[in-house]
Amino acid sequence: MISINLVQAAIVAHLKAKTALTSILAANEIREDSWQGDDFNYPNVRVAMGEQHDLVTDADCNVAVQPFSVLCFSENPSSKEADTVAGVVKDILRNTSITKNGIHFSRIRCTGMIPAIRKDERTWRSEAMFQSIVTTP
Amino acid sequence: MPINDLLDTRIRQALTKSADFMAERARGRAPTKRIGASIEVGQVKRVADIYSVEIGVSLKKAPEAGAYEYGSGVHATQGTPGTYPIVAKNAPNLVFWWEKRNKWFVGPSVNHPGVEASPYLKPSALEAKGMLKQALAAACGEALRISIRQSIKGQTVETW
Repeated sequence: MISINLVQAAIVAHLKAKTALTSILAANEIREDSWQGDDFNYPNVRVAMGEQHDLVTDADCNVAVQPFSVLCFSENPSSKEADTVAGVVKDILRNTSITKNGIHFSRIRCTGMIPAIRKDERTWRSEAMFQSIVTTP
Repeated sequence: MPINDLLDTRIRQALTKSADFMAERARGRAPTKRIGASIEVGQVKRVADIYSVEIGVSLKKAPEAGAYEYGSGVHATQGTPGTYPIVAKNAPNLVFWWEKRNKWFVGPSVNHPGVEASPYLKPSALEAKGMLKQALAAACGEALRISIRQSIKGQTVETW
């Protein structure tokens, strides 16, 4: 098992380094899903983690399967912006292998996309779902 | 895509779609504008093999939401029905136009009879239930079809 917060931080750091994404988002708006703040600027993305499970049952081996979602929020009248951001996230992560903050992600697979729905009366939320094998040295 | 992932994705998509449908219906039924604007849809969560999604009303934004869903005071459908006192806090007296008596009420407290139930969440949930059942059946059917096809063709199915 690898601490989920470390995996989450690595994904956030990777996305923050991608100008294709940061250029279409409000400043500093790539964060963990559980981030509790008062000030939200749109459009923004939040990284939500799923349940991690070991790929092998060897106690000395840090190899795990980690599902995660990137939630994309928009306050535009149309849902288009939320879906566009989710598409950009998918293009950045899909079928890539990355190493960030000492964590290696082997071939991140996009397991699905959920088109934008109204999270509340003013906010659209679109979702890109991923899964990857994560390892630490 | 491995069958497990396909099924997981389809279940998440079906739940999200049904939750969105339910929330839209509830917004349409909401007895006040503030309640409608405070209905929120959460993200689908999976713990072990149990999937869940939350559709709710923020009581911070619309504190009256529960009273309208379940009724309150003498109209309460949950708990013990009865009037409840409202006491003046920021001024010595409560002052309001008393429609029933056609006069102004001025006094330090009042026994409020509450509001009649005007459910907006439960009926919407029941409406969404049928849609969810269909979507889940379709998802399972699709996963089963692909699984059988892959078995017949002898393709390797990834297990992670």
